[in-house]
Amino acid sequence: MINFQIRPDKLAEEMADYSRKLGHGIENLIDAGEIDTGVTARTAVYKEDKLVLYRYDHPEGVEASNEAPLLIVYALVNRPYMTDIQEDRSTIRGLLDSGQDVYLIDWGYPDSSDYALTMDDYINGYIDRCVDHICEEHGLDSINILGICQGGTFSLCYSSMHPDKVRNLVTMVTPVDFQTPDNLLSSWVQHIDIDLLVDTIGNIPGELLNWTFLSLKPFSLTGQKYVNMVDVLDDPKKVKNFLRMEKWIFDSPDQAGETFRQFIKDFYQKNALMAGEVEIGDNVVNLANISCPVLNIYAQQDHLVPPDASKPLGGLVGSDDYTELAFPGGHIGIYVSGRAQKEVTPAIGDWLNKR
Amino acid sequence: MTKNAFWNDDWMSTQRQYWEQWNNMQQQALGVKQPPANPWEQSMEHWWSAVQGSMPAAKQDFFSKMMDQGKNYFQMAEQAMQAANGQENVSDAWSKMLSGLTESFHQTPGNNPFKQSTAFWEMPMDNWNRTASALSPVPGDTLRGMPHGDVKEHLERILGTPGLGYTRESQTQYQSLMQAVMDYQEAMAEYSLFFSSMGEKSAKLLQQKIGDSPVESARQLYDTWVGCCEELYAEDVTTEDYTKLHGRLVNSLMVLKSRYGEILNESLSTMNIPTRDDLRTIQIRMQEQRRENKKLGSEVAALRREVMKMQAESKAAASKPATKKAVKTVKKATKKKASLRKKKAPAVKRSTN
Repeated sequence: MINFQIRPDKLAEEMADYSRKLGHGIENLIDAGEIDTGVTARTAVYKEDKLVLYRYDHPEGVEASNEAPLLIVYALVNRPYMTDIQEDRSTIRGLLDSGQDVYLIDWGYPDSSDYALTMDDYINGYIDRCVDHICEEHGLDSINILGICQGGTFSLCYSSMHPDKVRNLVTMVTPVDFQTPDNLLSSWVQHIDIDLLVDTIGNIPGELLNWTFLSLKPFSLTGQKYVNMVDVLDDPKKVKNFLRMEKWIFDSPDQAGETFRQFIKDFYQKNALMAGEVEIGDNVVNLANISCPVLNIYAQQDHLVPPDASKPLGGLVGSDDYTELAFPGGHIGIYVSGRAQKEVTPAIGDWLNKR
Repeated sequence: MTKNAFWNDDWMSTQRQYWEQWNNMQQQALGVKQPPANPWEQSMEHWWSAVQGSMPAAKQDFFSKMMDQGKNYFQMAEQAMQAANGQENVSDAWSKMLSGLTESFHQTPGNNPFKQSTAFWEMPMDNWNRTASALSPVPGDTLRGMPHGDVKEHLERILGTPGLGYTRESQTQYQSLMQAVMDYQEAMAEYSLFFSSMGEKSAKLLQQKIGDSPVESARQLYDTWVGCCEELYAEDVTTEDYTKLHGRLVNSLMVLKSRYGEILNESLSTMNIPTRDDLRTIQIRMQEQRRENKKLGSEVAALRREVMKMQAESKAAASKPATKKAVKTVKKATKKKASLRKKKAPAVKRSTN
């Protein structure tokens, strides 16, 4: 027996309400103006090709109490301003407040001249030179590194090949086992001919990545989300925040072809990081080489990097000081949710300050 | 919010009346007697076409999505209401509506009364078409309506015929391109079929779910529908069948694009214009050279540091009481290496390689 109780007058009321919200909301949408991203003041301290290394300014009255600076290595996919998206939702701000001296690598937007950049160029080239620059500036031999998502995987590779330069390593929503059964992204790339893809189109366009990510939950991400948005259209602040997120979601840089080729083939298709068979430049990446303290943070409802993809790290690193932190949220919520500001960022700060 | 709001209740009411009268006049002029199929949707369309010109282009797409989803949102409830019209038993009407929805996945979209709901299952395909358009020289859905089935088999036979004579190579290239077109078209058809069969299952699941609890609003119905679609989608896209289909879709588009590329390269070569392959070779060679330069730069920097360290050690040793001869030797060495001393780093350092 189907219990259908929508009355015509109620349906008409709902329609009128939806229309009214849209009508009012269009004002807020137009008034939203330019969507700014990245809220914390920062200074470019090193540039190379399209890469810019930023150092963040401390808020007034807050000093960097941790002598070891912290370098954030973000993924090549999407843009790093996710970590500093708005005043009250900023991982960077939280880290500064906890006494860290924060640096961040902005990879920029690769174009066809960057096609031949390899993972070796990114990890043993760009990251290593950024680390050297920071070490030189601070008169240190090693620094702290925080790797995010794919940037976390890069940080693991880096720490394995340059263990003497990494004092503490924090990984956030970082895939290690790329072939867990709940990893949709992984199952989708298994039958794609990556050589054909890269040889044909060179750099991988951001549109292709957007399609892949939206395809994970197409009805929610390309449909329902916009219906839900209508409910908050009358709040200019919420409209602006929504537009900011929308901008970030579709702000997908192209991926350097050769790096994409190796990343998908070795990590996703061969799961070679788990087997200790990834070759970068002249080195073989062995996670057992990582002897520094490691804090591994994953999100319990992460549909891009499921917890099971991150957790195997504990059994692979050579460190005696390994800590895991599970966040009850998703891949993006771990940076932008109110809860993350209260729980995740202070926990990272604490953990680093104790070491 | 400004005083000159785009929307208020008076304005809305006036607009509605205006458009109703305008529609009536149009229908009379055209000899159409039936009322519009969906007055709400129509009035929203009119409103949107009136205001969208004043909205920045960048935000139009975003707002369109809310409009489109609004249509999806109310369409199902309206269909249920229409099905209920004239029937005493609302449950029967509701069942009729769901059966209609299920059947609609077997029909061609043209005259389908449940078009909006089935179109919901077109979303993944639509997303792909947008992506394919960005990656290929033809719009993503161009090949979708091309003939297939028996025609395809016939074409395959023709395309399998070896080329002859002076233009043999060129014939082969075009045959290969046509074959790639057909393979991509077939993959797209399979992909589309996959989603329409999933759509059919989702209608059945919706029937089950709403049997458990009363449906009191269009929003509740829409959210339940989305939930059903996501649930089934999440199950089906993890299967080996789907992952293979996904691979075939992407691979066949790439084969097609690479065939285009081969023909284009050939044309460019005949005009002595550099091709993409030429450029690729240059990119790789250039990157190899830059990598080598950077490595050498690092080695030089390391050597400089080493030298400076040695100089500092020598200086320290010299400052200790020592024989005249030893001091003289160190001084001489320091003078020689002075030119290698590192300059003070600028505020923003830029790698020059």
